[in-house]
Amino acid sequence: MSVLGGRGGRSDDWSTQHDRARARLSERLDGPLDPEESQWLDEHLASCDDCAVTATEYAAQRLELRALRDRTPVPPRDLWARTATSIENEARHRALQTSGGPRRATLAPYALLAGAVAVAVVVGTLTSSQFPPGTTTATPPASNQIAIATDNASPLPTPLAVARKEVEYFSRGDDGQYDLNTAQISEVCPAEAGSCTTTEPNEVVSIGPLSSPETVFGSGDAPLVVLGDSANGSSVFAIAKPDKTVGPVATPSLRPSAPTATPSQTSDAGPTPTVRPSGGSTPPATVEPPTQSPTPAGTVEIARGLEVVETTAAYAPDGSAFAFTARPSDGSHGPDVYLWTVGEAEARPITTDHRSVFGSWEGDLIVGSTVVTSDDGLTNDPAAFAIAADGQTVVSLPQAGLAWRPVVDPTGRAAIYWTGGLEPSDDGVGWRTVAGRLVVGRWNAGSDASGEPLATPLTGDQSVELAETTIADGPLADWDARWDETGTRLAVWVADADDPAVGLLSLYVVNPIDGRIDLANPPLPNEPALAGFSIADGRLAWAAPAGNSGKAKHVKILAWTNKGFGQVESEDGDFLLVR
Amino acid sequence: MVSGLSSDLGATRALLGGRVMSHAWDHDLAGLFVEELFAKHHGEIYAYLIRMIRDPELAADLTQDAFVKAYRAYDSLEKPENARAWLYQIAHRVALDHIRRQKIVRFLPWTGESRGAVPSAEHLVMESHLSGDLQRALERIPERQRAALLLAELHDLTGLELAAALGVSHVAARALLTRARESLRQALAVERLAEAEPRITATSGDER
Repeated sequence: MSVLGGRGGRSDDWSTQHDRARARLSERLDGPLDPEESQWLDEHLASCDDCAVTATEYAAQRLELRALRDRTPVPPRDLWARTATSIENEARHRALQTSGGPRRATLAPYALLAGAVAVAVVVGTLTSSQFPPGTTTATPPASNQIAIATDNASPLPTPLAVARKEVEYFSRGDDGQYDLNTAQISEVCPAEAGSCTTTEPNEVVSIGPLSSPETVFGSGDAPLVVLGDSANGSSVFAIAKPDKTVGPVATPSLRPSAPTATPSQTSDAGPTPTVRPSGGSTPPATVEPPTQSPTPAGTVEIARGLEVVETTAAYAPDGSAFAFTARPSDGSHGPDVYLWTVGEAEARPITTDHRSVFGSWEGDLIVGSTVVTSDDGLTNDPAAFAIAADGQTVVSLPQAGLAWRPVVDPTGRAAIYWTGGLEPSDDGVGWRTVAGRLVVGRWNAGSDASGEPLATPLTGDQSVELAETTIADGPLADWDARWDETGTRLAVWVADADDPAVGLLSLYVVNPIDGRIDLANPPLPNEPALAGFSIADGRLAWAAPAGNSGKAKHVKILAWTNKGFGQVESEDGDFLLVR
Repeated sequence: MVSGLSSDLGATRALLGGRVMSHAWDHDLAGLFVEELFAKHHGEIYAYLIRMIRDPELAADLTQDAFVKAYRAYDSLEKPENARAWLYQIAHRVALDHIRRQKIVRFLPWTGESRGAVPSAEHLVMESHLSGDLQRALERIPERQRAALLLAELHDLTGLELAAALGVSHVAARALLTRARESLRQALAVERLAEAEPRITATSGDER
């Protein structure tokens, strides 16, 4: 495991001697240079008029800056009274919270760990407020709302209150740094209303520099898995989720002889030392040698030399592992299912037939599909399988039928999958759909194991036996489907045939009694969306593409309760939704 | 039990020792600790925040916020002698968080219309005309660089304290300061050129 982000640089890295001179000029303002470097600087200044001017200007601007000291602002007189009140509220709140909780004084190692998580959650919630008016987790403060939408229309409809849950997305800052945004959505505008007033707080923490991230997966406090493009295949990084609490003072590493990094490698600030929740102890800031691409601290490259294929990838429901489909970037063979267990240095393949793709998790089983080629080599049919994370225990799926990339609902009763033919893709090592359908059908994975190694195609008419409902007719360039945690909402994204980065997203309601899907009245029919959406906790979030009636990219959220559906959307921005 | 406000930070911290205290004990100590920190440092923290944010009301709110955060996080401070840099680190994050929040997203009703109002741009332009060219130049440079310059030149943080306050390595802090000085030099040149050609700067305020 390597922690990226340390920066070195040798003295011959300077792109020009003038850069070096400017750096030395700056350093000399803060303290004496070593004699050799000092002499070099003096010689350079003597021969470079521009640099000599720069030296004068640095000195002058320092004087001007220091002159600002004369204008030291006076704090308001009641500042301590206000602060003390806040602290008292905080103390009361904490006392309430801890009175029923575990005592820190006698924690065993396991409990320490659990305690650390609990503390992180509590503090994370508290710090979601800039102004702490005695916050509690149940009733977040009303004073720090980022969104204030007003409309001139007279009486506005009442916003629909939904359970306060987070929607996370990346945004790219002016300085090339990425931020993780956490929008706390607790109110949406009712679907029938044209407009209403909502206010939503939004929390932002810095992620750091990233090279062309394309899609991000998250699961609770588990590391964010960022997939992107790189020169030699895909880049797959796991990034420790930034701590929202105030960290301990890092002990900076002192390397008196090390010169500063080259400008091209550095952004405004080096990555902040990652602070992991650790129950109050202070981990040392780790700085390791620099690596090729700029990434935040606490980052692990979990796959190298691989090309991630297919849109579908997912964290296990418990957030302990991440599964995806990839093949070697040299195209030497076809795809396999890969698994990265949180905390491990690298993802590992759990299939070896080079023709398997990931579908979904069913509990702690990985559900995927492989390709069965007929004896005459003319037809290629999908066959579903379920496999334990150890890659050894294959669970037979006697009733799964011809199912490609099955995504099983959380109850295990139904799945959405492709059924139909496959053919080799243009690169010769992958597969694409031909005639067939994307359907929701009955699913009985694992419960009825007959001892056979892989799926056995059904006899007779599969569409009847599995009560398949057609969602889309193929061939399909790509798709992604996810159920919410109740199994009563199903979101399906189908890629555009010409530009697979964009597609149409629909949300369907599934009857919890008989599993029927209401195709006639989906709450969200065919909404333009970029690849990558999230569905959980009563809300569906996606990034709307630019160009739709002149609008730029923005995040949209559809939320529901038993009272109905409502929606909000973000301002424009270069956003990437955390799936 | 606790000797009172006269105990200095070191003594307060020494009471903590390596042992884990009960909650009541914790809260008392944290409160005392922050009260002393406030007495010693609130003026400079407020000054730093006002220089970063340029809004006295907001700077007061953020100062308050920084000290409440210090209260919450006081057991993360390992050495009492680092208290000042640690406090600056907290204030720095509070300032950057605020700046980011200002820049970033608001969620609006999903009407498909009436988007993209940015209320702050005009305000920024207005304000930039009211202050000196140094202030305008400072506001032109990226906020991390601005923070590094202010902390080093106006708040007298040493190299190690600066690194701690910015939450970066010593080497990175030095590099940041180098870039900041160069950015400020160029921004000043632009401001002074603009002053020589009046009214051309009318739109420069929203370029950041």
